[in-house]
Amino acid sequence: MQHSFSAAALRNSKKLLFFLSILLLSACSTTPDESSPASPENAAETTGINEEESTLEETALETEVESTENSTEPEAAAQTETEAETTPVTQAEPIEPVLGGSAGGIIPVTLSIPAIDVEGPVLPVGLEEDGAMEVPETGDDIGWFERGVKPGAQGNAVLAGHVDDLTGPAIFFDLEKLEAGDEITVTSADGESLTFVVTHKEAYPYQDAPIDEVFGATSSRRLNLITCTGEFDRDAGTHRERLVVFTELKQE
Amino acid sequence: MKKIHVLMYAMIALLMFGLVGTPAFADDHSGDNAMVRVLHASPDAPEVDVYVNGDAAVEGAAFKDITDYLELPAGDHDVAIFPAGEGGEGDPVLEETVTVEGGMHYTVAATNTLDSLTLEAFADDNSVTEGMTKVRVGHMSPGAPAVDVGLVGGDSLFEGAEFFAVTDYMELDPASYDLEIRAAGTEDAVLDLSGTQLDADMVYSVYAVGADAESLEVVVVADQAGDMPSEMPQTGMGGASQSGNGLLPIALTVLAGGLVAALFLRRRTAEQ
Repeated sequence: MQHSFSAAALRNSKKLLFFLSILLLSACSTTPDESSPASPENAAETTGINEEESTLEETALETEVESTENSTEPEAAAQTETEAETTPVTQAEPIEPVLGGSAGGIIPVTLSIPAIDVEGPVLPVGLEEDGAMEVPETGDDIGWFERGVKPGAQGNAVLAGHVDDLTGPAIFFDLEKLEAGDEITVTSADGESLTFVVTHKEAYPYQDAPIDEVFGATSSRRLNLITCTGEFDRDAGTHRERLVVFTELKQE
Repeated sequence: MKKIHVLMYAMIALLMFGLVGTPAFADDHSGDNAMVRVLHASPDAPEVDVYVNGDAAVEGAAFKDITDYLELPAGDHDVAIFPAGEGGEGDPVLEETVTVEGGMHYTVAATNTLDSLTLEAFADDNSVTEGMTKVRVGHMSPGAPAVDVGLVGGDSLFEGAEFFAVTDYMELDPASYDLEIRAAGTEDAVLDLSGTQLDADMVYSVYAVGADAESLEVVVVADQAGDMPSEMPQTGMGGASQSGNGLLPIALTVLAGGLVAALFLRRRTAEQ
């Protein structure tokens, strides 16, 4: 791009100035979206995560090598041998794991909030490059943070939905109208459903939300709903605040 | 004078707590708290109630039971174990101080035989590289010899674990593993764990419990691996919100710039 511009510039220096100003203009108008993840704070965090991941990957690789070595051995032969040798061995049903408190729950596929007439599909989402929670691409879908716990398990399960899309209100537009005591229900693919009760709601500045309280460990079985609120900050390319509605599993 | 000073300090303290302290107490700030659970790993101990700082935390835990996590503030806690159903009256079977750090997860195992019952606290790390699985082994059988845990007829994954020990975690590809517990350094299997399913994004603790090698059994505890984002999600695009600065001027600038550029390019092409 720039090469062709400078070629043009060689022919006419006035044209160069003109192009530069256009370039500047377009650069200015695109910064809001890109600038938020590139703040020095975030950049530092991202590097931290990357370093950690790379060391983990190394260990993972080592382990992988070990396990492939093991699995390439003639397993069937080895197994009969062991069985013959070791008659006193206590055999043999595969052990059913005991689920720790955080390991239960259901994978949600739909969410319904009768109080604000919300009914929508839930998709699993993970992390963005910069470490933020991912969100669904469209305003009609709800994202479940699959790197956290499942709804119904001990801990903070998290759902996020858009308050608005580019043209108008989105699925969580009315989330702020929820009051303590309102019920929300999530349902899994095989039809199992769990009901949660709103305990409280809180709005936080978007860069200063208590991540740990919303996503961290807790002995309760919570499902927290996140959406945006406050003014839309064009410079930052995002709303100024995040609304979190905290709910807890209904006691049957 | 002094009195006034004290009063002032008290007021300042009150103000600070009023602003900062109360919300922290109203909602549990898990970053400052520890998550603690109890594993009953004493083969001959009866069902027990566990009291933490004098309050019933767990009731009726039997051998091989593991409780949910309990949220406790960082610091020292008095953990007392009573025979189940006695309402925490009389002498506890065991009473110990357990120290926990904020932001950490712990399993406290009630281990060894009833007459020499002890509490062993160790940290749980419920995080794993996305798509991987993680496993560790705990030797909680007082009468069993040192053991290796490995693949049936294959290499050891964990070597020389003795009572009482909990190994480091090992990260593995999620799969079904044919594991066995062997007397350390030998090929003599003590317990066959064929078909141990280790799923992605889960963290497993394989605890060998029982009085001795003959009565050895395992409790496999599965935990959901968790991860936290560093930022809140971008849950809006601004289409139905008041905006801080106008979208229209920017849009117009972009549009105007684009138009000019297009015109200019066309002229340039025409010139050539």
